[in-house]
Amino acid sequence: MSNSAIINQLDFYSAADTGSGVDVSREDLEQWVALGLFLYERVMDIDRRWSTDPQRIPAAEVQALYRRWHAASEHFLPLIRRLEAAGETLCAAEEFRKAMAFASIQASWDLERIVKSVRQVEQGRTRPMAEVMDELRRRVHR
Amino acid sequence: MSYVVEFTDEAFDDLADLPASRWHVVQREIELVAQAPVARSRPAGFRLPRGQMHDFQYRIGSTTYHLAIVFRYAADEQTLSVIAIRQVTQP
Repeated sequence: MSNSAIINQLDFYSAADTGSGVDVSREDLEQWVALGLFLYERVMDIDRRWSTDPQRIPAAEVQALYRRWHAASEHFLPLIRRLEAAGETLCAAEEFRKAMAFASIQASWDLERIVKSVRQVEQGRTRPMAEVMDELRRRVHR
Repeated sequence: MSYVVEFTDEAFDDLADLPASRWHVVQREIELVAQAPVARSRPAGFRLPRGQMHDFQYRIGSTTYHLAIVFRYAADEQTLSVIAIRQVTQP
C-alpha cells in the first residue's frame, strides 16, 4: 500500500485558499468541510485496513496522515465559529468537530509508549482494575 | 460472562492524568466493554497490531470530551489488558 495519493489529496486540502476568511461564503465553507470529512474517511479506511494489509506502511506514517488532516482542518474552525456567531449554521459542523477530536487523539498516541505497555502485558506486569481504582482513590484522600 | 480487566503502568498513568472526576466515567466504560468487547470495540489499527480500541464521547456542562481506550485480549481469552487511554476536548 502506498500513501502518496492520500498525501497529495491532503496537500490540496491544506492549501485551501480561503483568503482572510472574512469573505468565505457558507456554501464554500460547506464544500471545504465536506472535502475534509471525505478525506478523513479515507485516512480512517487506511487505518482500518492497516492490520491486515500485507504491504502496509509503517504505523508512524498512518499517524502522520491523521496529523496532516488535523493540521489542515484547524484552518476551518475559526471560519465555522465566525459563521455560527453570525447566527448561521453549517450542517456538517458537529460531524467535523467530532472528526477533529478523534483525529487529535489518533495523532497524539505515543507509539513507543504503547510498545512498552504491551511488553508489560507480555511479562505479566499488570494490575487488576479494582486495585488501580483503589490506588487512585487513596491518592485523592491523601 | 464479563472479562477480567487489568491495567499496565502506562494505562494507570494515563488514567491518573485525567481529572479525578472522570475516573468513574472511564471505569464504567471499561466495565461495559468487558461485558461485550467484540460489540463495543474495533481493531486498534496502526496503534496496536492485534489490539482493540473503544472510543466514545461524553458531555460535562457545555463541553464535549472524546476518550479512547486501547486494549488487548490476554492469552487466556478471559482478560482484557488496558494498554493506553487518551482524552481530548472537542474543539
